[in-house]
Amino acid sequence: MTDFSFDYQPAPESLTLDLQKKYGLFIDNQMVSPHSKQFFPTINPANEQPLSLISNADQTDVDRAVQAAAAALPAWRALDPKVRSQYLFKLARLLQERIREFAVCEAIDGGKVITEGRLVDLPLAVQHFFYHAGWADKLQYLARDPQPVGVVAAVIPWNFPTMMLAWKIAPALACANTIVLKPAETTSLTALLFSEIVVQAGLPPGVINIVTGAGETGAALVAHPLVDKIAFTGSTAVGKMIASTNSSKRLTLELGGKSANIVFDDCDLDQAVEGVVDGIFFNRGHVCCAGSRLLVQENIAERLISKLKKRMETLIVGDPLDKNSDIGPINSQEQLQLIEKLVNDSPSGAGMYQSDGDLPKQGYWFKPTLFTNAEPGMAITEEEIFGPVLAISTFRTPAEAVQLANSSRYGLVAGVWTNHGSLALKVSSQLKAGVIWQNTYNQFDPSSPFGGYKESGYGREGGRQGLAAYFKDGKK
Amino acid sequence: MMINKTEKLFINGAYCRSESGCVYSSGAKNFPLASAKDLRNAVDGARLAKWPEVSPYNRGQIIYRIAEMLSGRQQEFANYLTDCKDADRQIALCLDRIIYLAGWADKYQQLLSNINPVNGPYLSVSQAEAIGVVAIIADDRDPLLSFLTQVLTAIVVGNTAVVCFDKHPAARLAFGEIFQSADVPPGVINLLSGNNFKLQAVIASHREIKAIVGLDQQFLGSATDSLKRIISSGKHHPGESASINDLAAFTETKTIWHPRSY
Repeated sequence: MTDFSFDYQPAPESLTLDLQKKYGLFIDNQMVSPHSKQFFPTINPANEQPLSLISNADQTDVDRAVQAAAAALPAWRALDPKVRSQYLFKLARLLQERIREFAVCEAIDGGKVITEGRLVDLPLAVQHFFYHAGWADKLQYLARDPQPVGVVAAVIPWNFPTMMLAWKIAPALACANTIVLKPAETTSLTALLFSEIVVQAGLPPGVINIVTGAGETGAALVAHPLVDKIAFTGSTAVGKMIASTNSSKRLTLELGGKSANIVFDDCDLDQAVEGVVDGIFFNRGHVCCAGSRLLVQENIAERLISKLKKRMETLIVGDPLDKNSDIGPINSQEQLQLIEKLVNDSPSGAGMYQSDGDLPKQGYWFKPTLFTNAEPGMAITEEEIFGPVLAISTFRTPAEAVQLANSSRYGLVAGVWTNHGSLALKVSSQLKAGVIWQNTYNQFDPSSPFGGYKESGYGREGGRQGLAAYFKDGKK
Repeated sequence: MMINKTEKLFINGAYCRSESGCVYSSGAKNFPLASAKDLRNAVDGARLAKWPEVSPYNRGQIIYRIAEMLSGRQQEFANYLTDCKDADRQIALCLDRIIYLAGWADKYQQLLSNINPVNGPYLSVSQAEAIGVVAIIADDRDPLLSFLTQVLTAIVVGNTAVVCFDKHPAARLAFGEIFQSADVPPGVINLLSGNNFKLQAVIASHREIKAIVGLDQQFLGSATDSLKRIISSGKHHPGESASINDLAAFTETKTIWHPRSY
């Protein structure tokens, strides 16, 4: 019998994108050379080729940016709210027009597959600006005398560069704050492209400032005495450090997770398999709310795992610019090493399984991986891996599922798969997590608050709950 | 002759001596000096207390009954507050405060929750939920009024509380009798007299405590190691009524998504 196989032909997105050889810092609506005179390369994780040079802002640079934001504050907050609203609408439209370009940039700079950038990240970032634009002149319905908090310092991660930028800038501006944003050092490019949009939209100088650099730049930014509010998304370790040293500043922290995807035996199994795959392999598992722990009811575990392995084989790991790719490269060598260490150190009894197929020779790649026998106490069960690695364990009763799900120091999200509405609601009420997805996973919306319990951080982003972090009530 | 009451801690619904066997003097009386172990016992009680299961309506009923129980013992509690100006007035304010807070039990949720108009076929609902075990370092201004305001604000939204105090132990420990007779379930409110400062060190590092009211700045580093929610008690006078924002500070937002498509 002839074995027919129909392989996908490459379908690459065109790489039309004008990148500069070198980027400065965006302060007062101008690109300025860094005082530090230091630059570092940003590279394409799919082939390790350098793309551009990024400024490494030092304390003087950070101070300059914060001073600009502080100087812009009086006029910005005095502006008619409807004008602020219109500025945000403008930013939203301009970004919407450049979705393709930004998605390409995120593919080459961060390794995010082009389909995700175009269909998920960028549209959500745009929607975030649209949603908050409308709030700017309606805050009086949330507080008697809404006043900005002041200068916002935003430090964002490399997994959703433009989306996180939108999550910070949009609510900050809607509430009449000014902002200094520091993108992650491996994914600065889209933030720098965004600075062009800020100029295009004609925002007053100093309202949005962007400084680039690594941890030291971020530390200098959040510690600056003129900063009134810190919005941080990133690792739990850094979040704790910020929390312990900045008691006088308003603080929201969006940190790590080890979220449970709980599958009950009465669920629609195929639907659950799709949800589990999306939960852990979306964006290569570089997702704070990744469903990295699969808790499956014992009597369906075998069937579910077999379907899951089959589905894993269909995932295409490859060029992030190829529209067929499901999984791009790991964002950086450093992150790849972290993932490799956690996986390589796992005990032999953990039941590791990886999908077939070869990985590209150059770049930072990791195969979709699962552990069929992840037990409590194992690092793969308890530590956030931040890669395409799933830890599977079984349970018998709903009570046991809840207990396992909650036995984590994190509490960001949880997935619940069952066709019994009453079971879903009961379990959801007992789970210590900020977002619960019932019979779905990875749903985000600017109107829907996102954020966690326990060591996943505090505060919410999105919705009126998220907005609350960015204004204070002048009348107490 | 006056028959004096032996003062005891109130842990998990029962009065008990400190396992340390230590006491301290306040006025003419001895009070148990709560130890780290007493605190851990109290946290266990608070963690397992049957309070999240109690419906909002019933939480309000129980808190209202606290006022009923206090009503008949106003003079006794005023007598505890010998060093306060106008103790009678403070007790009267306490009664008003308890009743005011009882009324919040089945209302705050409607002000804090909402349906999110998401861009897709999903029902997305955000609601306020209790944080869990809250440790309260009691404020000493208007000692009984601030104590009740802080404790009841924490529990009316479904949290359970471990309360520490060194001053005014007689009045505050005696309130356990009121909570018992008002049918507050065991473990919902735990009362520890002793050295506030020493207990805070244990509180700040206890993993099962999820929020702290009135924490001394010097324990912040330890408390942030498990990212406890630090709730300020000082901005406004703790004796002031709890606004909806004060209640919100004692909650987490939980958002639940469910497909609308089939």
